[in-house]
Amino acid sequence: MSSGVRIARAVFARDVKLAFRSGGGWFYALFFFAVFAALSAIAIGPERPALAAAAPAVVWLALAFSLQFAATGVFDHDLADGSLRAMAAEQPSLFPYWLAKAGVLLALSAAPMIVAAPFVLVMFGGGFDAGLKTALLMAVGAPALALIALLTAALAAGLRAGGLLASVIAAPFAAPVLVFGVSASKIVIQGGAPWPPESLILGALSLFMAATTPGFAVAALRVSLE
Amino acid sequence: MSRYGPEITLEMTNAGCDRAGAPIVRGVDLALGAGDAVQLFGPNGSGKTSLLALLAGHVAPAEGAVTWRRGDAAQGPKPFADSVFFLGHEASVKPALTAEENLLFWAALYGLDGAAARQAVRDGLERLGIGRLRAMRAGRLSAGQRRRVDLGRALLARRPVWLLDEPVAALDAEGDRIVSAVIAEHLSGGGLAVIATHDQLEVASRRVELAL
Repeated sequence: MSSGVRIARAVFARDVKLAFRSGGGWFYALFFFAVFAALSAIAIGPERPALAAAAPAVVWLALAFSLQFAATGVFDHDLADGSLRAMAAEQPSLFPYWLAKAGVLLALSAAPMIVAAPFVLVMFGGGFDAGLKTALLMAVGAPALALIALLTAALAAGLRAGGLLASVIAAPFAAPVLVFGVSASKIVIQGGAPWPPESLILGALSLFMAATTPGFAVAALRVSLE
Repeated sequence: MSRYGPEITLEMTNAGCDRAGAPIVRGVDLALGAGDAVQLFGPNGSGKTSLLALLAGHVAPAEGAVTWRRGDAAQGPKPFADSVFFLGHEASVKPALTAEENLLFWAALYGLDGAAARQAVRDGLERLGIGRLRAMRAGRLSAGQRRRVDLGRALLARRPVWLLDEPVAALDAEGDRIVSAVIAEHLSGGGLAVIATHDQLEVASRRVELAL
C-alpha cells in the first residue's frame, strides 16, 4: 500500500471516529438540511402547487448550504493544535490529507442528506419515486458542491470569521451547480428522461471540481502555515 | 552505527527568514551532522519558531541557503521526504481520543500498523511515564501529560531529523529527564536535532543565541 493511501486512510478513520464521539456532531449537517427544508415549507405556505414547484430548488439550496456549513472550520482543529503543521513537515504531500477530508465530507455529510432527500420531496407533496430520481441527481452534483466548500474552507483556514469569507467565495462557484441541478430535477420530476442533458453537465461540474480544486486547496493549506 | 540509514547533514549559510513580511532571523551559519544537536536560545519573538519553520519547509528562506544532504543526494531548502519529525509548541493531540488512540493515529501515518503499532505505542507511553493513562481521553489529561503523549510521536516516527519547539515546556523535572534521555538516545543512534528552548537540556549540544 502506498504511503499516500495509508495516510488518507488513517486521517479518514480518525475523523470518522472524532465525528461519532460525544460532541463530534456528524449529524449537524443533516439536521441543518432538515430544518432548512421544513422552514422553507412553512414560508412557502400550504398551497400544494406552490410547494411542488419550489421543492427541487429547496432541496438543492438545502444541500448547498448544509455542505458549506459542514465544511466550515473542517481544517481548524488540525491547524490550532499543530497537527497540520506536523503533517506538513513530516509528509511529502498534504494531498492524502485533503483526500481524506473530502471523503469524510461526502460520507458523513453529503450521503445522509442524499438519503433524506426523497423524504423531503414527499413532505413537499411529491411522489417518492420522483424523490428517488432527484436523490440520484444530487449524488451526481453533491461532489461539486462539497469540493467547492472544502476549497473555500482551506482558503479561510485559521482566519477569524473565516466561514463568512468561505460562503462569499463559494457562492459564484455553487451557482452553476444549483442552476443545472434544479433544472435537471424539474425534468425528472415531471416524468422526463431519467438522465437529461442537464445531469451530464452536473456530472461534468463534479469532475471539473475534482480536477481543479485539490491543488489550490493544498496550496491554501500550506499558506495558512506560514 | 546509524539506525536511520544513510547519514543526513544540514548546512545553513547566512540563512534568514521573515515573519509576516518583516525580517526576523538573519545570518545563521550552521553545520550539523549525524549525532549533532543544537539548542536555539533567545527571548520571545527572536525567531526560534520561525527558524524551525524554515527548516521544516513551511517557509522559504528570505536570504542565504539551507542544504540537506543524505548520502550523495543534496537538496534544499525543503528537507528530504520522510526525514523529519516535527514537534510544534502546541500538543498535537485530540481531546476526544484516548492517549493510545492519538498515538495509534500517528503510528499509522508513520507506516506502523496492527500489533506492531499497538506495541510501539504502549512502549512509547511507558517510556514517557504515562503508561497507566493510556485509556484516558486526552481532554482529561493535564497540559504536561498531553505534551508527553505528543512526545510519544518521536519514538514512533523513527526519523533522523528532529525539529523540536519547546519540548519540555509544561513538563516537570521527571519529564525533563525523560525527554533529555530520549533525545540523547536519538543522537547516539545517528540522528540530528534542532531544539528551540528556554531551559538548557541535559543533552550534549551546541548553542545558538538569537537576538531580537
